[in-house]
Amino acid sequence: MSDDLLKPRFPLGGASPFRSEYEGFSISESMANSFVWLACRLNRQADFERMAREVFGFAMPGPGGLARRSAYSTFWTGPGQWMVVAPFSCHRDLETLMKEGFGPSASVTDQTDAWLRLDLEGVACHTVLERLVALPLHTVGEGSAHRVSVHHTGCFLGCLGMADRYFLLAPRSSARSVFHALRQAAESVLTPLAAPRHPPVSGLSGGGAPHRG
Amino acid sequence: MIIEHPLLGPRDAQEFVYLGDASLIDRPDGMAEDSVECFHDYLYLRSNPAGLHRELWFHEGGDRSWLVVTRDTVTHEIVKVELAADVARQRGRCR
Repeated sequence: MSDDLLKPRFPLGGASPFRSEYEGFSISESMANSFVWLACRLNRQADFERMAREVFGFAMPGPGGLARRSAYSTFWTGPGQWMVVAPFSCHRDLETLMKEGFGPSASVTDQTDAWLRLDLEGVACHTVLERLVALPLHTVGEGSAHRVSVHHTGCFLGCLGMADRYFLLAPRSSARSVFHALRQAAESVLTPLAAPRHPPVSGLSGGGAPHRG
Repeated sequence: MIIEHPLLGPRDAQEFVYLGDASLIDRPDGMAEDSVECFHDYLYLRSNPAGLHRELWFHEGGDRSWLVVTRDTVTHEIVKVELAADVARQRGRCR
């Protein structure tokens, strides 16, 4: 089998991460992180909380919260459930690390490659996002993350800076749809800095093998 | 319609999916002698009040929690919102 068939694609279908720039706003595709879902098991809450302090050095964030320290960041995704994010370069085996760290107090599910991460930056973040998500954005400050619906697709929106740095996690299987929604919202109010470039049509949003010929 | 989520605050009803009467929480014991009659009532008999109604809503576009929403079916006013897990525990369930 020839090697070129095994080259991985980015969630938006390209061979490199995609980026769109507007006046005061940019969207960048990122594959730099590992993700796992962490769920506290029934009647194990005390153990789980103790392990969390040992593994992360902080208590798990409450509803709508996002906590960060050293390489780890975690955000609340539902009652007793959190997403854990760490750099892929040094935490390739995040699932194993979490299983070892939390033992039988938690259930761990690998989510790496299941999500498209888009980094949103710029002073116009609110101008674009307020057209897409039903959240009072002034309450989504640094250290908060929420599940939101973007064109009826469940995504996570987290704030990393004051009001000018956000990340949006979209299911990889709906990557191009969510990206389209985001770009449509941006183009309705902002001027692109370069001629709009579209993700390659031949690439599959599900990350499957590229078309040949 | 806005639903006041007990954990997340006011959220648009578009994020939720409606299931039905909150009495669905009280699933009968399948091993009881009268289980056939109990399950018949559980599955098919629903009251359809013009007024306050307790119903199950799922926060599908949010934190995926189940809620018990007390809603006035005449005015659509939402009187009370609770986590279904809390309601189940109050009724003696372990979760």
